[in-house]
Amino acid sequence: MTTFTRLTIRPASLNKLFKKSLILLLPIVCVACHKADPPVTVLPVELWYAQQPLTCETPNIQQDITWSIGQFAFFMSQLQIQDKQHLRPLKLQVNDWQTSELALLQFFSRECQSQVDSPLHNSKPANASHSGSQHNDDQHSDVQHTDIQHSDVQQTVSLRLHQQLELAEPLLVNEHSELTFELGVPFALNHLNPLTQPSPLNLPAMFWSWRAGYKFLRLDLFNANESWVFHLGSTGCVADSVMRSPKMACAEPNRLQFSLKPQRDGTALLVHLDRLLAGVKLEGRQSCLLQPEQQSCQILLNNLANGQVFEWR
Amino acid sequence: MCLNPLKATTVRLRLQGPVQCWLKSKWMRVTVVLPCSLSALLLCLSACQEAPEQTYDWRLPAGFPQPLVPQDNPMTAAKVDLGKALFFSQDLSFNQQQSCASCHQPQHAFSEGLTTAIGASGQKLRRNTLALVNVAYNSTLTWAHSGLTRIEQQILIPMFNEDPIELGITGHESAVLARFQTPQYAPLFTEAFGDDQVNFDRIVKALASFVRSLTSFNSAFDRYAYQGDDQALSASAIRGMDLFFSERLECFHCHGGFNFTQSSQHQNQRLDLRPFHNTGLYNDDGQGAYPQRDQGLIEVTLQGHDMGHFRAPTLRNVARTAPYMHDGSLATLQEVLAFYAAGGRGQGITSPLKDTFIQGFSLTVEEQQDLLNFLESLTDEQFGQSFDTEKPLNSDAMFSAP
Repeated sequence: MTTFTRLTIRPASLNKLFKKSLILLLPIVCVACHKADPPVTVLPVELWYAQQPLTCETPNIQQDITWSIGQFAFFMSQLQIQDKQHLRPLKLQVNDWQTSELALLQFFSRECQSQVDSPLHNSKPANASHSGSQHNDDQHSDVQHTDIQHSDVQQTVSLRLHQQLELAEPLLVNEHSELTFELGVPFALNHLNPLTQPSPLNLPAMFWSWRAGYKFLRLDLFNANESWVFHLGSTGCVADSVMRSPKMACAEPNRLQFSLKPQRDGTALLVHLDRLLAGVKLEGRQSCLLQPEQQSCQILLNNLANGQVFEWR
Repeated sequence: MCLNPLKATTVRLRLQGPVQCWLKSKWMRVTVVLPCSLSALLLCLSACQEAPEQTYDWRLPAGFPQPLVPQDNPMTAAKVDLGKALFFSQDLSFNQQQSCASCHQPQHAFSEGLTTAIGASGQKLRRNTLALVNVAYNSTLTWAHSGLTRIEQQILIPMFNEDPIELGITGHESAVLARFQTPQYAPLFTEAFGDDQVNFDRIVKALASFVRSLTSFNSAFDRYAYQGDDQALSASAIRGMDLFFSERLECFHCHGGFNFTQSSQHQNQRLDLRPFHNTGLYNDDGQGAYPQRDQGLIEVTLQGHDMGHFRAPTLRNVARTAPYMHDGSLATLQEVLAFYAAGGRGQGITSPLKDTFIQGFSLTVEEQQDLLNFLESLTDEQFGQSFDTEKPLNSDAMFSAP
């Protein structure tokens, strides 16, 4: 009898079971289209100055005078995570900013100050200053506006900022964890035909030439009167011309290794811009493009190597 | 209603006649809204399917990426053919005095030798005609507009602009369309779009397809850099190339990448950095102001730091595209080199808005010649040449000489 009672399925139970089944099945139906993507784990990379995060809205740093960040970008590669026993590679998700083994982090471009969205969203009509002007051959806001009605999205991908590492597998952090990476592009990838490289390695703004390879780090600052830049990359690369690849490693590869332990729960990576710039007099003549006579380069390289510019928090 | 109300006082260009009617009519709802809804539905239903293969043959050298193409105007050879016919047709201007090719002349890499362009009515434009070289890869179009990202958008400017008048179609829409409703054009429209209906949407799409087809990757530099031919460049041109890509001259910071402009996107590169630069050409007030007649990107963004910012154009075929700069104010490549060597012009040299990388440099006479030889090596000798001699597609009567 008891058994029978247990096996009895009443209409109310059936209804409940049906609902439960639906709840269970729904996610399966919804994800049926998707290939089996690994779970996403994101490690935000934050730009800090004087213990404050810099944002797109406030891309300014205060030294003697106020400097704005025109562009700050760098490559991270050779990512590895050390836990108690193992050192294992930290694979990245592949997207416009990342291959599986390296990422381009970009914090600001000059346009960041006015908008960070799609360029079409910035299609404010011109132009107050030229009201009544005889010239509007480049100003075509109404056409632009109508075009958006049936615009495809293919060309409006607007990716000017990339401030996180998107990992291909979950990152489990404990007190034994150690995150290691290189600031730069590995030699094997650094001097190839950029045309045939995947994004972001085909981005011209970060490419010097086949001989010299990529700018590993690019920091462009400007104020009302002048500009200051720091471009880090390999130097002393020997090839027949700038359009030929070096056969051997460059004399000064300038790839810097970092090994970081989590200071808190390991959920963010901080870049301390003030520590990078410590002791550097920001003026145009003190820019560093890795030319022999540029004294600021030594300070900057030393700061990168020893100044705790990166912090895994 | 469908136009941005803010533009009313400042933007002169208005769409009238058939275009405006089409945009506002129920046909717009039928031809745009309904298909969009259907497309969205189909997109949802077909999310698992692969995108169809692009069938157009771009005839690119091995390794070169294909440009991005709008989904609503895929490339076809038939559209390119129709676009070519339209591009060279003076019937496209209101008074049948000009074609697109009047200013975009094949022998000048689709630019022209004038300081600034002149429209069909004789009105002078304020800017130098840009070459049409690998335009399909541009992330933005024209000299200084961060929002113009599609050729289909840009083409409407020369067609319909009223001030200044270029082709001057506005107000003459029916007459212009009627000129293409002919037995000669019918098969071209039918081949391109399935029937012989002539409208401006089709004309724009065909013109855009033709302009996209104008790719140029067969210069001596390409043979050296991308085909690995060590003999393709002279020793002098190689020295000039090394100078061009040096931190001493900094040319490549703005004219970088495979298209010699950082403003490039393609099938493998969609990151949009939209670089515009102030080169120190002017500094009227000591604060970096450009002359009121043309102040560049600031006119679009209204951001002070965009004063005098213009897009770095490609340097491919640059030896054919004189004069130079947005206002054509530098006549020769020698003048351009002298300009950058000086770090700007006149007061522009001390402009606070001038780009970081324009600091000036000194060149020996030999180095200057090396650099010129390198710039000459960017000329694709075949590019545009076939347009001078090629017979019209079907009938001579259909074409007007540029």
